[in-house]
Amino acid sequence: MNAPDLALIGFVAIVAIILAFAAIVLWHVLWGTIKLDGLIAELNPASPDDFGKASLSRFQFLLFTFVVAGLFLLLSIETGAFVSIPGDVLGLMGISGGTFRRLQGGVEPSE
Amino acid sequence: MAQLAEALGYCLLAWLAVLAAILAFRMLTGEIPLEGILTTKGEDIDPERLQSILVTCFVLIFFIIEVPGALARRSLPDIPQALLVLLGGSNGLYLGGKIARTQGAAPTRNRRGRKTASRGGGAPGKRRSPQKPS
Repeated sequence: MNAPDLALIGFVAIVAIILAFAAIVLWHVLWGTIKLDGLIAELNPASPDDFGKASLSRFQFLLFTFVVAGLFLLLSIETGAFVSIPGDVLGLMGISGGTFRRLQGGVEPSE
Repeated sequence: MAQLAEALGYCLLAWLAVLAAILAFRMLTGEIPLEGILTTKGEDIDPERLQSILVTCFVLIFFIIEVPGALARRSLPDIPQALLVLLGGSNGLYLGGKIARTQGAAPTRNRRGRKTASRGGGAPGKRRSPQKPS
């Protein structure tokens, strides 16, 4: 067995592992084993099971994450290599994440 | 191997799309609750939250519109500095509104605390000290 064959087998194994992880996560999300009820909810530290109302900053962060990740994947497939990420996009994510983090640490959720 | 890598990329893109579809469906059916996203205490809509949603949508639409131009540059779309400032200002306004509305419920305790602190915080000692005989 020569080196290119070994590299191909290794690559196939890595692809299979990554896709298996992705499929398992998706399966559990789909059938409710991984619960997403509190994904965009304001958590109350006093009662972690009570999710409360929806959080705008979490929702915004979720939207930006999906759009940036989706576009990054799409453009990388189209160009055949990893595309560069401008500082402005990182700033965008930073502003959104910073607001989310500030609300997590600074403001208690309303009753 | 390049074809395999491309296939992996498409699989991951499909995975992301299915995940987004599941989330969107659960938000529509109410399994992921969206109630209270525009209000602080479940009453009227807060203007700062409404403007934050609008600015977010505007930024996302602008970002997606710029994709064809970014494809040639092999980079994610550039975002103008003004748009970043707009988003920062919008989020700052939302944050300020949220802090004002959530902490506005107990202003009297803060005021009393400040008053008692200023009276008791070493003031008697300062008052007595000028009475030293010269």
